Amino acid sequence: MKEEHKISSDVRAAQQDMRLADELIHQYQPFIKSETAKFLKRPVTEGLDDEYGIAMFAFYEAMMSYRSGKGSFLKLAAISIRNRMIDFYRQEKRHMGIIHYEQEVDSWEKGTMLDNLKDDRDEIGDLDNRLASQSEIEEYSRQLATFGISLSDVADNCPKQERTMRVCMSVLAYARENSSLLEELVRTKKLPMADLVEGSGAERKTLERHRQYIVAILLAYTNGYEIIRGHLYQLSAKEVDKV
Amino acid sequence: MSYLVMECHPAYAVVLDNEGRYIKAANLNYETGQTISTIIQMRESGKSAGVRAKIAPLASMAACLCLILFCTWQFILTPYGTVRMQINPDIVMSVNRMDYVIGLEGKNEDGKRLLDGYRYRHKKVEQVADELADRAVELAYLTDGGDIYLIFDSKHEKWKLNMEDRMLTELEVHFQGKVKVTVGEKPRAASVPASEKNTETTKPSSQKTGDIQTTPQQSSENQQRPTPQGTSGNHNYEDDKDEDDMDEDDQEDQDDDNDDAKDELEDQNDAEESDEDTKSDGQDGEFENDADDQDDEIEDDADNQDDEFENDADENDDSNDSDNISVTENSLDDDDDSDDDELENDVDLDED
Repeated sequence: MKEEHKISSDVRAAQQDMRLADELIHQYQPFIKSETAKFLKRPVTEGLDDEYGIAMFAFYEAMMSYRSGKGSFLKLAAISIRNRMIDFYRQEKRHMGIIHYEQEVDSWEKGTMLDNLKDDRDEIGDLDNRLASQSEIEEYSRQLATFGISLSDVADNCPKQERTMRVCMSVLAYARENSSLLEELVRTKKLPMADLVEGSGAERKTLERHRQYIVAILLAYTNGYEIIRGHLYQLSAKEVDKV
Repeated sequence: MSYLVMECHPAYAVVLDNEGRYIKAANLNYETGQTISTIIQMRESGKSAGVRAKIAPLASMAACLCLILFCTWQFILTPYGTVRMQINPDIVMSVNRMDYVIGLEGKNEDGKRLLDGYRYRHKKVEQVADELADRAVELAYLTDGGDIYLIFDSKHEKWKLNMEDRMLTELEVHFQGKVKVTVGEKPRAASVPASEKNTETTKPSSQKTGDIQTTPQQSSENQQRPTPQGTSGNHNYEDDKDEDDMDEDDQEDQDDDNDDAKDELEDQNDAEESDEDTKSDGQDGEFENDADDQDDEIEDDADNQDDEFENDADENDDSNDSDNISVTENSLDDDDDSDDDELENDVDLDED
């Protein structure tokens, strides 16, 4: 009973703090591995089995959706992990029989399949690009932190409905036409709400509700984030209106 | 759709799609800055999911309730068939699947009068038919020996057949055979040839059902089948009853006139027949015609004598009886005296 009570309080705390959530997941890794092995009926290889990543993701979902007084958290987590495994298995069933790149070759050649396969891709170029993206994204995260926002918060605050997304995109389109608003955002670390409401015609209530998301998306269109804008580059001014 | 991995955590990763959405997805050994094509998206949690979790059961309950109400409406309030009852009043009963009456309509003035003030809700069709027939008796539309005609209409043949049997049985048992119940449309009022003269139901109903107590206006309405006219909502049956009582005497006289008219009509028909008969060939035909003529003559003589007797009786009733009696008495006395005188004369002659 005491243990159950402790777990419930830990889960409640993790729901509010992203860092505590990561620590709780790390703490219950043996439990997650055990549940995964039960489903797979074999030991789990960390870093190799996608099922392990799915199981941790399911544990995180159970953590976010748990309500104290509705039963044991660990039972909920076990059920969530099992359901996610089943869904993943059904989804991946059509890919059964495919050999893993990391699988060792059963022949006189040494190494894995990946080592022995011909690859025309520019691995070094891709690595350089990825490193550049990483540094840009890290800078972007640091800028967001000055607003008191994390990327996890932005993901939670992102509009789910299409019509709300359209309203937010109209605000972005107006801000892009009036670059002074973006400069004011970076300078004051505050969202110029009144100007955006008046200019875009959106409801203030909608903008208040999705404040963190709007800050993040406007920040991506300030100077220095070409890679992120390039990923969003497909959104021209017309497509922004469409979305 | 491609996704840019923005942030990695042990259990999940934050990715950015091409349309500007930030999404939490399962971290399958991703690295920040990596571009991927497919993700396993996180299911909704938090307040929005909680609210939706509460709304969804309510919405599904509301949908089930609407479905149940709709099915109930279809079952109970939608007409499954109609039963038309023609006495002199003509009414139509709408019946639902469970044989409850859900609508009543008077097709003529008498029908509307019959239904005025009558409540049919939550009653089965047999009960309504019995009650309306009793009402018709009370209002003198139906008497012993009268007719009730029933017409059934529905898309469902089984229901029609079943309802025919039930209604026939119900009304016949209710009236204990005193009223004739027929399935089919009430025949229209028409002239009745003598060859088809019949006391059974083939006679025009306007002449048959309730003909003792129907008013002249009602019988004419039945013959002409007028379209129903609008009547006021407030109607007093007692006034109608009084009017009917007052009209009875007139009706008797009218009936006598009708009988006379009938006789004349028969005579005319006989005359026509005899003319036709004389035109035909064959001795047998002639012999029969002669026999028929003799029979008709005998009947006519009897009718005439009956009429004369009735007229004489009426005259005697109307005039001063005492005078007549005295005259006859005197005449009788005179006759007696004369007879006595003759007897005495005879005796005298014999003595001499």
